[in-house]
Amino acid sequence: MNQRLLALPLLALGFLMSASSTVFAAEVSPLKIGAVFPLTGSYASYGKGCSAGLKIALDEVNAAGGVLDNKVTLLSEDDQSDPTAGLNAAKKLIDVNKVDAILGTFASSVTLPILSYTTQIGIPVLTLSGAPEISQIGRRTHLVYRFVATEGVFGESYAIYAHQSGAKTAYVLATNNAAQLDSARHFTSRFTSLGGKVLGQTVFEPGMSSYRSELTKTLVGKPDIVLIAGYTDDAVTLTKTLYQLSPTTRVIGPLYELSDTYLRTVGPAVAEGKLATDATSAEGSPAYARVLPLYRQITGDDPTSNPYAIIDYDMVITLALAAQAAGSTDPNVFTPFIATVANGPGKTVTSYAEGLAALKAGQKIKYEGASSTIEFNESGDLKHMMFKTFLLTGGKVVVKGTVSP
Amino acid sequence: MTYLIAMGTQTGLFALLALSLNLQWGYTGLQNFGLVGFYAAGAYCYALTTTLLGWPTAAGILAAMAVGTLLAYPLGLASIRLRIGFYLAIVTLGFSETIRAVLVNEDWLTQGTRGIAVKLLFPGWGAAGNQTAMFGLILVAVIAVYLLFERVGQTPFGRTIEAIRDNEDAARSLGKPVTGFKIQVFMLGSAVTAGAGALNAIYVGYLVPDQFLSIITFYVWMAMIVGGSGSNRGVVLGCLVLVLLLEGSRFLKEVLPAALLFSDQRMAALRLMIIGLGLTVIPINWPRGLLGRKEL
Amino acid sequence: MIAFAQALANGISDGALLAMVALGITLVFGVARFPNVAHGEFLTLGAYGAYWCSSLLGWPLLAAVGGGIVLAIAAGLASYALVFRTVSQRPVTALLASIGLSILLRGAITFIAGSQQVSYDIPLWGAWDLAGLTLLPLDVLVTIASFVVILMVHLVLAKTPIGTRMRAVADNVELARTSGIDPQRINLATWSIALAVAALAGMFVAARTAISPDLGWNLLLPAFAAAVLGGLGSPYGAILAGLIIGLAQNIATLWISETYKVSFSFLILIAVLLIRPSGITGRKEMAR
Repeated sequence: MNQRLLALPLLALGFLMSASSTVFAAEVSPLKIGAVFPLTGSYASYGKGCSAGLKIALDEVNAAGGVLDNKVTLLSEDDQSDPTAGLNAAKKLIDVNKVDAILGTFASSVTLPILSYTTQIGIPVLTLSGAPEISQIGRRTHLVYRFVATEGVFGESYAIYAHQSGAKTAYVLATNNAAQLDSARHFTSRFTSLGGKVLGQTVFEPGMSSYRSELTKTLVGKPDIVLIAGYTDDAVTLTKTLYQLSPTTRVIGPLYELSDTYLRTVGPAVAEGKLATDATSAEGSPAYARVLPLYRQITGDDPTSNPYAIIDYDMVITLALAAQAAGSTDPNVFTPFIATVANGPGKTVTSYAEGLAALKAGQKIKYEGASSTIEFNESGDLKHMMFKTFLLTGGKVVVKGTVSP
Repeated sequence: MTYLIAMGTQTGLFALLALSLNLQWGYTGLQNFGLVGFYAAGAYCYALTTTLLGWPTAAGILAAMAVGTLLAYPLGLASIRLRIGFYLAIVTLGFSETIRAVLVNEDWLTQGTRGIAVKLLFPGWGAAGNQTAMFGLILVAVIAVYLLFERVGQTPFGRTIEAIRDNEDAARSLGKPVTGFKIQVFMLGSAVTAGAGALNAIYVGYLVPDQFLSIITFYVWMAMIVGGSGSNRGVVLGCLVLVLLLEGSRFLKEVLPAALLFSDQRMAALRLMIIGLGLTVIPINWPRGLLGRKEL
Repeated sequence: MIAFAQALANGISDGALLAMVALGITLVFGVARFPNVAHGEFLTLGAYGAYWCSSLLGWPLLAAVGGGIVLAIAAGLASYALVFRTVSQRPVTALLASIGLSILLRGAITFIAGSQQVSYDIPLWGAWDLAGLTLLPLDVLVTIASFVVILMVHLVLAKTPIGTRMRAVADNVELARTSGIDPQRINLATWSIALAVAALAGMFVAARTAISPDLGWNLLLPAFAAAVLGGLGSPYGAILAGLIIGLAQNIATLWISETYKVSFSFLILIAVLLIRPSGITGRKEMAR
């Protein structure tokens, strides 16, 4: 008798509670982010660091209270360095996990098929890929944001730095993918316009066990400097042999290739004298200072080995701030805000908490990231930026100066 | 829902490949390890004819099938010369790798690693509409090819090629033009494979040579074995199992208790280990596959 | 002219390594009667084994090399016992299982070691200039070592009782059995030798380049081309074919693009097979 009487009010209470939580939940669904990047396959060596960068950012956002008072979830999928697997991974994240954005895509060959899908359904993609085709898609759809300089701009930076270092003749070794080939193209035209001479170009397949024939061709004309447009793994193989064949020939490449990891793998003798450039120019930023120890703690590495990890961090923060600023986790609403919070004008903020506070106070913000001053043009590419130049010497990567391609 | 349709489409694409392979291996005993080369050739032919030349979809698919048939001719010739099965396997493997190398290097034609965008099937229909239409198209293709190959299996042609598989010398001594049959089987199978490539191009929407690595050929072999080589119904089922294995393993991290969750990279490696384990154990313990008629 | 001589020198280096890998593949084929797609993974394991022994455990060079060989043999024999022995009568099944195994092993290596590249800590000497020809001491060392290994295998096969029995089993298992040879023991011996050679090949490749989970897999295609070119099952064919392909690839790049290197090895293979369908040594496989 007592139980029946109790049941009714309890039921009513339960109903009221679930109804109210539904009402509150209906206002804003939590932000869900999908990350698609290589954890296995040819580009996998960058994967571990990227995971760490994403985690650091996610923790920071949720520690500050999340987006629109909801915790943010981030789901990662391996693209296996393969376009079809990457596309299926993106589809799974979008259709099954209902993510509101995709970020972290790495290889252009994976990003482009994903874009052919995401642009149909209005999901924004924040990418690390360097191929020029992506800019065209960005200009057309405003659904792609590239958080790296295009490889073409990298190519120009090598040309300027090489010229500055006194090299008159150069040879180009490029790995066989769209981004690096574009980089090589831009290097060649810029270097030539600066008065230098490019003796030739050889495209190489990554992952081979011997590059003697490629290097023999490279050294025929005794170039002052060799551009290696590629990634750390092949740079290790190529430069070790190159060093034995001709220790005085200089080498230039991107910092993500001739990185700390590269230095540690080949040793100070081989690494001595190598030139590198990098578009990330925010080592002095408060954001970077905050992320650095956390990254070291998780991976045991230095972020200069993997600037992509820091860029991934910025992607998450920017996305979170965009949704917060837009007051919505619907991609149709918040996507334009990605450029808004990155470009400003507004109060300069360097952390999610700072940005959140400013937005809640009704202010406009301009996020300055740990990887660079992020500002987008109408193609979703980063606006013209400075490049830092580096010299690998005495077992260290040393900053030399800046160039402006 | 769209993910399921996408997975259905992926299964259908594999099924077309597996049916072709079944015709070549299951029925005729030819070890074709160069499937992905024809898949790639068909895809690129479709993309180039429809994008560069502006041909309509149907013409593009037919062009792809024609290219597949033409490219199969040298392999057909090779299969006659190479009586030792594994030799044909290696040669066909090298053939498909060469096709990929050409796709990468002759970028004046193929755009190389820059890739080619492929138009939507029905540009006005939006994403969901196109996905569904694509699935419908592939379903029709699979049914058509299935019926065709079932029919072929029942004709004298079909009986002859099975005789070639079981005892080539006997077939030859009975006066059967073994040479001609082998070439025809290669060409017919490759026409279907290349046609599937064209459909794949529409499905993915953007082509790069890296999509066509030899691992895909290996996956299709596995699907065929799982389903049971020799049985067309079986190989289609095998493709379903394959896609479940490849895509289902993504959900591993959502199912494992949090304590067992490793780092992202380790989880990805674990997923590959599970796929590898499945692909090792299945051919051993289920040699006849699910619906197969003949022991391997 | 100098360019041609340089291509020859480079070709001998590359060819010797290829010969070692092809030799391992063909030895296994001789007794197991199927091409082992997972063979590359044993190269990788050998390379990693030596690396872990020297870097993590601090063992000296020879001990580390031994460690790498032991790891490869252990993994290989385990694969044989758990996987390949059960399908010894079904070659195509074994081939397919070996494909699955290669994916499994590469996943396992990535799981344990991560996908970041590592390198041996060996000194790099400057190149020697011999009348315009550039030779790398490290390459020369590796090439000589490769030939030593090949010679040792030859001596075992030709001069030792067990080698004779290995050749007998590879040639005709039934006949060997009736001669009182225990095929099982010989299988183990052959596998072990093939795995040891694979491990060493892996270490040599790693010494010239670096160590990563895909080390062996990347070499597989040209190695298979060489094994088939030489006639599957024929050790001397594999050695010769490896050298031929190494030389041909390097000479060809004087005219064609580097990126066609692997395709070129297949072109050679097809050309030769058209004339001699059983490979260079013309070893005829029994009709199945």
